[in-house]
Amino acid sequence: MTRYLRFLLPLLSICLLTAGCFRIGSVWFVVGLLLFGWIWIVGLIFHWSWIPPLALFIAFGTAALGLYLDPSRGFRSNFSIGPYSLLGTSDPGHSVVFLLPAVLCALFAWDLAEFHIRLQKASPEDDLTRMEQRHLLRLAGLAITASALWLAALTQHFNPSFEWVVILMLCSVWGIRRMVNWLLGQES
Amino acid sequence: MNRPFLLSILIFLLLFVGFATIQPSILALALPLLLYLLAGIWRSPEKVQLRAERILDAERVKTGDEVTVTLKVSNLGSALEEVFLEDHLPAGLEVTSGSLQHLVEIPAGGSVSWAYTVRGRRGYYGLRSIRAIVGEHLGLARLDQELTTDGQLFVLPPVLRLRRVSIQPRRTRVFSGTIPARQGGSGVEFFDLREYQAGDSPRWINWRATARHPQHVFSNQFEQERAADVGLILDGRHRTNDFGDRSIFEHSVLAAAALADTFLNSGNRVGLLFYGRQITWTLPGYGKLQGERILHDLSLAEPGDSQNFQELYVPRHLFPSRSQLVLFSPLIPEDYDILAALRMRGYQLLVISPDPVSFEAEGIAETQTNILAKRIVRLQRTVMLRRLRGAGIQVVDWDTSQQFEEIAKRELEQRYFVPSGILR
Repeated sequence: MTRYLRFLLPLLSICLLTAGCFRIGSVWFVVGLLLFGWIWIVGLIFHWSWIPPLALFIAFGTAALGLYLDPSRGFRSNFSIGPYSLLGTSDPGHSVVFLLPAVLCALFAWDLAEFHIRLQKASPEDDLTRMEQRHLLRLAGLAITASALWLAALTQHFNPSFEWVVILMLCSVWGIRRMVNWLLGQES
Repeated sequence: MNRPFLLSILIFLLLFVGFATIQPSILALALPLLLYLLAGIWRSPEKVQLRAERILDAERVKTGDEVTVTLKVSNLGSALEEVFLEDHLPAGLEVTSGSLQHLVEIPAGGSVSWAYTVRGRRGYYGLRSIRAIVGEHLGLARLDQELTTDGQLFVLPPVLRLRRVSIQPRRTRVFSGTIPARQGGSGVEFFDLREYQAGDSPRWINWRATARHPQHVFSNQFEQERAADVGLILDGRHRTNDFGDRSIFEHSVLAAAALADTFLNSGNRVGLLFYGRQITWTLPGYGKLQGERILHDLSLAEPGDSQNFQELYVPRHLFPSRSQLVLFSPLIPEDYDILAALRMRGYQLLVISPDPVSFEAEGIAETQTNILAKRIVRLQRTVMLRRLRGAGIQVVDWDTSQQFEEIAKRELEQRYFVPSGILR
């Protein structure tokens, strides 16, 4: 299962990114994306270790750019309860429907590339099917939770003051830093 | 790059860009990454308590024999989702079946075991640890541990069975053996005549001599056969044994193992001196236990260099005077003086010399220069061996392309006669 998903998810990610960025209007941007998608697949075939992290960065960067440059603002005003977004000022365009799943696919593609390397170290006698199933189940759980949170962020709204925004930002930076430090400490 | 670190960079970038552009949708991009990190923390292993056991079906094997290694890793802590186990195999051992690496899931209180078989070249191998990388399914939190185990493997050199090796030291021990003792008494080989004494068997009477001297009756005396002290000296100097990435040392070890076995089977007292990087002295002894000791020490022997033993070194105090010494060495011209000095002191010397010239020539191209060089070195060696033989030292020049059994049968089974002119 993993061996198919390793290739399917990057393809899906690239297709969704292309669809999401199509509205920007630059043909070269779309061609560049397709070219990168091709390099991504070739890299996976030839086991280039630098490809999955690079692809993750490019996918997220492209998605951020697509969301920023999307001319079709007003997604929430058409589909949601409130007129404002999570932090108040901006309303995403229609591309969000493609770009959010695209980054999720890119994240899972990056994860499966690493997981595949770990599986390759295993012995043929090991029960890898069970391990693969549990891994994919966890990714599915993550996908569902992330989608639910996105949906909530796109449909619900609150309008905090600037001070709260700064406090929230500092808290998130501090929290993430603590989280990463903990994980790194665990590894060492 | 470290995975949590990479994710954190990406999250910080998205947060920065999201806050800078006041784009909540960009902030929302960081959500899956944050969830991913949280999932890693949530399922990260808490307290890892793994214990490893190793069982080898044999700790001492001959070269080429296979050993089954069984490993069992028990989890005494909480359940572990993903454990990568890898056994460290020392260089020189090769896996013939099974696998060294396993990726498993170990429940709390559970265990996992597996087996593999190895084969190795001569040597000592310490199997002391297993590597365990414990993590969760997403591979974010990883704990790298070394699990200590007990285990050692001695791969002994092969022992060739030789029928007999004829030696004749000047001094023998009091116990009966197979070495001619140069003394009359009971034995097999004719030694001398003496006047008949009461108690002599009538079958020992030499009728021909008695007929020539009617006043006397003569009886035959036979040469006594006794055990002897044999000192084996194994030359492990790097400069004499190693030629680039090839070493002739294994041939010396093979010959030493074969001769030690043969001498011990004949009831002799055998000791072994190895010198390379350092000196290893196996105290002289008799019997099968001594054979095992010698094989054990031979399995540990590796060629090396020492400032102190650049030249051939034989500590005479370790060997009884006028005993039999057997040197296993490819020899270099500088060794002549030391060997001649030993001979002068009354030691009976046998030198088993694997031929380094033909050995080295096998590994180099047949160019005109190389052929000429080979001829020169061959001449030097021939001269040196001739000088050694002239000094009363028995030298076996062993072309390593031939089997040692053939050489031993041809050169060691016959009684060695020292050339005339040499004081015995």
